[in-house]
Amino acid sequence: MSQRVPVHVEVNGRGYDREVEPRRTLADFLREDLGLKGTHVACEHGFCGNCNVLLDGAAIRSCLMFAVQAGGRSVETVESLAGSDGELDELQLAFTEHHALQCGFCTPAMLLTAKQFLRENPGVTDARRIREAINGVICRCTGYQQIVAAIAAVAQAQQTAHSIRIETAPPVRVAQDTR
Amino acid sequence: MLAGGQSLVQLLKFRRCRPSALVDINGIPGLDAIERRDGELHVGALVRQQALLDDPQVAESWPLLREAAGFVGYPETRRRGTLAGSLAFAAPWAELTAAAVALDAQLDICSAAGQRSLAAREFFRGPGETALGDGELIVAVRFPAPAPGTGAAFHEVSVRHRDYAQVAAAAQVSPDGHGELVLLCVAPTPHRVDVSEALTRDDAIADLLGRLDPLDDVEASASYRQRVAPVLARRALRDAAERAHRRAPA
Amino acid sequence: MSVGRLEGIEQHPAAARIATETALKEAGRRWVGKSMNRVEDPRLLRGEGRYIDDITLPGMAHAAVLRSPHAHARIVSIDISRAERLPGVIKVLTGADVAATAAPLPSFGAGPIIQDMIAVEKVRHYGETVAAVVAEDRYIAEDACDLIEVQYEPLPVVLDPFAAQREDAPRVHEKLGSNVAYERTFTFGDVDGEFAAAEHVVRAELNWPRSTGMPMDTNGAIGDYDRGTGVVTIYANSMSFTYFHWLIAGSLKIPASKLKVVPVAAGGSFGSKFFMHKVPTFAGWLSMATGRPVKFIEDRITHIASNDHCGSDRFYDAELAFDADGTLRALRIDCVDDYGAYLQFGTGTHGNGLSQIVGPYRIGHVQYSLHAVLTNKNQQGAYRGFGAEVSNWMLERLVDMAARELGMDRIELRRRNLIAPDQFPYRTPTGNIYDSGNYPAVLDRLLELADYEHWVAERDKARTEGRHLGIGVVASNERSVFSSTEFWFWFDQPDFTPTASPESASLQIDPTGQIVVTLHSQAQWGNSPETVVAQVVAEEFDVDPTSVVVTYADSQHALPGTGPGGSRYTVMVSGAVAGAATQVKEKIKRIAAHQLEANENDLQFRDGGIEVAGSPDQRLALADVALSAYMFRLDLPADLESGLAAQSTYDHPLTTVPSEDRSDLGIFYPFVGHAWHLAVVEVDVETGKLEFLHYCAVHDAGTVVNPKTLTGQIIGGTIQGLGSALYEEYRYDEQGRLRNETFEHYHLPSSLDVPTMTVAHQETPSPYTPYGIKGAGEGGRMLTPAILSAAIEDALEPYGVRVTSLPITAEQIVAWAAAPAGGDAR
Repeated sequence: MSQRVPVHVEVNGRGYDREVEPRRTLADFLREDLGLKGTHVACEHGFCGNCNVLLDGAAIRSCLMFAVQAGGRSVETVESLAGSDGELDELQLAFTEHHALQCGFCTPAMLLTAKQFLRENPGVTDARRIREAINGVICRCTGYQQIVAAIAAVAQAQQTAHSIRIETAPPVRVAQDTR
Repeated sequence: MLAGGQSLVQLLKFRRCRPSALVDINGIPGLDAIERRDGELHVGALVRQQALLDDPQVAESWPLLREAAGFVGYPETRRRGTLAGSLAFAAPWAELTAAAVALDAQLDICSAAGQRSLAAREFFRGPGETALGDGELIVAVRFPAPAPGTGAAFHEVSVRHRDYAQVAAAAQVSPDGHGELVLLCVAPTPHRVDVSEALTRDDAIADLLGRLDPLDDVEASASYRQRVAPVLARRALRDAAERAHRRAPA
Repeated sequence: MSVGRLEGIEQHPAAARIATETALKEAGRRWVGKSMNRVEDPRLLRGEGRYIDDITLPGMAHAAVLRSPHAHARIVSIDISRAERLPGVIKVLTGADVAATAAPLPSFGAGPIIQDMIAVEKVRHYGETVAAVVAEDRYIAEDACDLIEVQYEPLPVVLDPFAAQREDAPRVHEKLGSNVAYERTFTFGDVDGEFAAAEHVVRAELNWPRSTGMPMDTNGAIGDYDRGTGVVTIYANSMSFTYFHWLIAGSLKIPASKLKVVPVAAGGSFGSKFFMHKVPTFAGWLSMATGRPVKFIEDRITHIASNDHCGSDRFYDAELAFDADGTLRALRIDCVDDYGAYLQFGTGTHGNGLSQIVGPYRIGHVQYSLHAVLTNKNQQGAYRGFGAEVSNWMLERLVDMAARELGMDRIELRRRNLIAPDQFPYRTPTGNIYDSGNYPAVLDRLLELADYEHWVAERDKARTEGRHLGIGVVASNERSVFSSTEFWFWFDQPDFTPTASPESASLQIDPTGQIVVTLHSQAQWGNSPETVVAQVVAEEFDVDPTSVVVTYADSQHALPGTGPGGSRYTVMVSGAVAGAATQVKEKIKRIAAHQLEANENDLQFRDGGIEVAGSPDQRLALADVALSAYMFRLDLPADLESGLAAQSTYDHPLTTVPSEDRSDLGIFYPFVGHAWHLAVVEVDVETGKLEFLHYCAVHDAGTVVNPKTLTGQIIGGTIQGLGSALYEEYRYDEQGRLRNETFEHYHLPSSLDVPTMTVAHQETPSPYTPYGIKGAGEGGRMLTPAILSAAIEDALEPYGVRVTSLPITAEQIVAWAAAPAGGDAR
């Protein structure tokens, strides 16, 4: 398993060329080969979502994908969120304001997953839809309530900033809505 | 064979599966189309599960497929996981297997020896077992179009939201009263039930489902599945019939 | 004692802010009590939390372990030759290496119950480590584990804690001569007399199964042995290392002075990293064995199967005696606890429960029998509540049963028995005291906040429509700040009787005026140590809390500390920081009085400086004072030495020794909060699934330091308790193999499975602690199992259901609905 193959990946806007074992996961590639330790692996089996990163703008499990599969594609990690001087972005500020993190381990994945939701559904403050969007990320500390509040606060700000009209169509039904 | 990898990579990580080689098919062109061809929905091997939720044609004409896809994994895994992969993996709780059987999907299977087609209703042999031979690959899944106005519903119970199904019921009912019902986890393969009577008589479901052979695993016992299957079947058929009624042209 | 201010109501942030500011003014405080953003947050939000797996040392190797597939087996032989030959493998180690070079792991348990880092001679539970591989990377280490060939001789497995007590049961530890590690009955008061005289008795068999804290960040450590100095440095995400690093040194057979434990932030603990010794010891030992820095991070399967930190696994036979008017008189409890294969904390989890065994009620007489049993399962450790959450569930179940027996309203029955505000400090039958409280006020607040009457009407209406709504209303106390006597008062002749559990802080103002506080136990793990310190420092010096720098000492430099656990940290670290601040402030005052030619008593700390009250132009900035303290010795009062630093060790402020005959366990957990929760659920009896319609909580944790973070602790704990109540459970098969060793089948609550809660804080300050703070990290989990039991039972009232075991699964609910009135047993 030791033969290595070249891979080119764009991460946080910067191109990286590396040689990796084909079996190396994207998570290990980001953490160990690129030194981007903000991506956290908690279950290693795709069930907890703590390793979520954005691949071409959409959240995926970096523990269930091989680095070579990300070849030629664009990855965003938590390191992309704050400004170069470390200044927190709007969502990060909302997380601290609403106490949406305790131990901080799931936080990078939660932020990125929420980021995608807010990009694709600007201004949507509906708690149910936010809970659906982050359902694939397990947080053991917070009970989620303050995370939902933080995301909704950013959505609220989007409404104000961009005079967004909110569509009220119901979301796709999810499991156990069996009545 | 690696497409979405949302199940296969798990198995590799559990070290339950140690292949000497892994072929990534993601680079093969032409496998990622989801489109209507000759009245059928053609879903290429690389079409992600999320596409079934996003595609307007699916929502319009194959509502059961969309309903079922809404219960598959998480948004992040649906963006990687494929329909074809889910069928080939044949997990007994896989929602899309129920939809494929209910919709009488045809699987286009390809190997070095040539190409063949097989009905989804013939494809599943047991948990994790299919009619797929060595070196064979599902290249497309084709769904015949249900009659216009067909209503569909998918009901599922799981320990938490979006866990593996403890029991699931996929139903569709056409405006002329023809029904399809497929249950998951009550037999080794997706379990298709003749519901011609059940649509007219409320207690028929219980009779019909009196002697299932449900799975017994860490997610749920056989007795729970036996008890709940008729409930979900009834609810799914009821909702599908109501929706057919609503969708039927006046 | 001031009582009764209310604030922090979730849904009305403006009202909460006003209430907070008003209260702060009343108390004369500016910072302690203010909802503030955590100073820990920015680095965590940027992904710069520096958890254990984020640390890389030069030349670092990686370890993986081979786990036992058997629950109980003799290790006949291990062939490591194929693994050793795999390129990239540095060393393969087995129990024989442990036996030759290391001592057993530390334990508070009595008797010959020996645990080693790697199983020696036999394995005692599924997943126990059988061999370790150190390799150039983790992938290779795991590959090599696959190449190790172990021959096992399977032994009969003992899993049932009742069967385990039989004479002929297979022995988990042969040298112990029995699987009963410990048995004892404590009797406090005239229990038999009370039971004989009482007009009613309810009795229940109750079962609480093992689950675990399950942090997202598993246990991990990096060992780094320096042959030159002989120092073993261990980076670890274990809490409380200061308390026991010398025990790790003992396991490694090195002097404590040659061990340096460096604390690393943990991605969650919930108790599971409290006294977490195996993994750091292991990493240190692997480094000594290989001469390389070695990282060992548990993978998820190892963490679940072998983390040594399962929660309680108890079978109660419990009775409550009471009168027709609702007066609760006595408790008689017999408990079998399945501790698993080892007993690291002794029976401390029952000591913990005894601190508040009567809950908030005036129950005067208690008998408590414990049978601590060993089986072939992963051992117990600490999990949020440390056993008190279990005894609270048991007590609240009994109280609900008593209400039913009397046909009395459950809330009314509880209210009649609440300890009254004028009875504090209240001495409980075991000897522990409750320092302060206003329990009826918390209840009243809850009923108002939750709109109780409305939900009763909704439930009753739903019932007429054939729907199943249920309301749960339960109470709990929350003991905080443990004293170490709870670990040994069980024994008549304990080997080791510690009575200290201190916390320390060093406070320095550097020559530039920067305030730096050094803490002497574990780093951040989800709580807010740095924010608490910043608030206390800001309160003491009137500086901007975000300007305070907090660092952590390693074990070679640490003052006495115990670390977070038993809801103690906020109280204890506040005491330590306030103590150090007081010394530094005294010195500043001396210097300032000298330099401003003012009277010390006229000086006040204000806005980053010190000034003469009423004459703000007579003022020195802290930076000016600091610079002269370090650099201008001759400008100081003649008797002062250079520098501006102090250290302070704060001991438990109220603890006493148990009596010889143990009729009085002494004061060991005296700062006691109080809470009420109300939940409304709707049950689908055809599928067994639940929906939350309403959830309210009111907690009194004394003076609230930071309402926002306290609310977070309450919600998080409540949701963890929800997992324990509804689905979390270690599920072993008949051979003792774990069936849910990954997140595939071990389910944690997700965002769609939990209610949105309304939380309010009541404040009854403790008269004994700094600022009147009580600990509050575990409270939420102490209520959810009881409240969901009550709410589901209420929803299923038409079926005559009695919830007597957890988790309350959909399977169970469907079975109850299918066979009404058969609800006592699972």
